[in-house]
Parts: sequence; C-alpha cells; structure tokens
Amino acid sequence: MKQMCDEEIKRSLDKFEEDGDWFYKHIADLQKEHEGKLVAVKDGKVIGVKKQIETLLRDIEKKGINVSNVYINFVPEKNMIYIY
Amino acid sequence: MMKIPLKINLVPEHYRISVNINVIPRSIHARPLLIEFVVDTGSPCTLISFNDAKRLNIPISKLSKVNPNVSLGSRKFERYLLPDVDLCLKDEKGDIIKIKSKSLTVLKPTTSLTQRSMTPSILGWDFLLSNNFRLVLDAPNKESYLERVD
Repeated sequence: MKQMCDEEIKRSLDKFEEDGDWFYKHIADLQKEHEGKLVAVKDGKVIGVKKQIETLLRDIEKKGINVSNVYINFVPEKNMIYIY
Repeated sequence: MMKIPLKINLVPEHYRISVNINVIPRSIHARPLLIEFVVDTGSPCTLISFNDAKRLNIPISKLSKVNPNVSLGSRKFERYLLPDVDLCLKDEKGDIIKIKSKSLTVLKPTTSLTQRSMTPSILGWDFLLSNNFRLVLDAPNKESYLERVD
C-alpha cells in the first residue's frame, strides 16, 4: 500500500475536521430531519443518511467516494443524553 | 513539550470532547481511516466502533479476539485486536504526530442491529497512560488538550 506523507495526512485530517465542525454546527437542524440516524458529511454537505452503517456505506461507494475519508456520525434523538 | 488540542463540541444537552485521528494499519491490508474518537477516561481501553470498523473494510473474523468483552451503555461488544497501527494526530502547530499502537481493538456488537449505530470510537485511559499524556480540561472556558514532556 502506498505510504502517506505527513502533508497528505495533515490535509486529510484538516478536511475531516472541517466536516466534523460542520456536523456539530448544524446538529440542531440535522435533528429535525434525521434524529436517530447516521449522517455522512463530505465537503460541508450531507451525502447520505441511513439507519444502518452497511447501507450508508454502500450508497456512498456507489457515488464513487472513498468511505475512509468521509465523516460519519450519529444524530442523537431530541431530549436524549447519550452516556457511553 | 508536546501539546495536542482536543475538540469540545456541543451536542444538544451536553458537551463532547474528541480528537480526530488518522489510523494507518501496518500489518494488515486495510486503507488508512479517519476517525473521530470521543475522549473517555472512564474507558480503560481505546476502541474503534463497529461503524468505523465497517469503513476499514476488513472482515473482523480475520482479527484475533481479545478478552474480556466490553459493555457500553447496556450494549455488549466483543473486541478484536487491530495490531500494529500508526495513530496520526495534529499538534498545536498543525504538525503531524505519529504514535504506534499495538493494542487498538475493534468492536463487534452482540446486541440488536437497531441499537448498535450510536456507539462512537473511544480514546481511553490506556492511550493516555501508555503515551505519558496528561489530559487537561478547562471546562468553564471549553478548552482541553493532551500534553507531555518529551
């Protein structure tokens, strides 16, 4: 497998972080439509929403996107605190 | 002094401390994976969630099972060892820090399908201890970071 250089790693982490920031900034809006589901975010856009990870990843891969770089998080249900 | 900033994000009703890490497997054929780890000192071990493990695209059955199982929020999971990985994080200057890990485990749920999607990947006590990190949390100012003296 091709080795990633530090610059590539930094670039991918920066983009991933931007998508994570976008997710948390918009989490209240996401809850209105997608509570209790997994949301995939890429370049500041929602690119997939599903309940099950397998179907979400299948949808993303069909679009030709590498799932290992995609930010995916669970949208918590309203009025619920999750303690792990 | 090495300092790694942590994210403090507001999830409705509470705050969550996390760090983004590029996980690069070295001894198995799997692609590098970007993961948001929730920092949880209540967890003795560092865990890759089932959802994130699915993005790795490796059959969990090919990994070695590790004991004991774990229980997270009343859900039970088996653990499988992901040996020899590089964990790549950004320090406060934006430079890449590489940390080798031989104890990262992947979760496989034993509970129902509808319950498993909410569990995040977790950065646990073992990561802090084995890498000599101090966890600093300034709750009123919503600031947190890992630091160690090299």
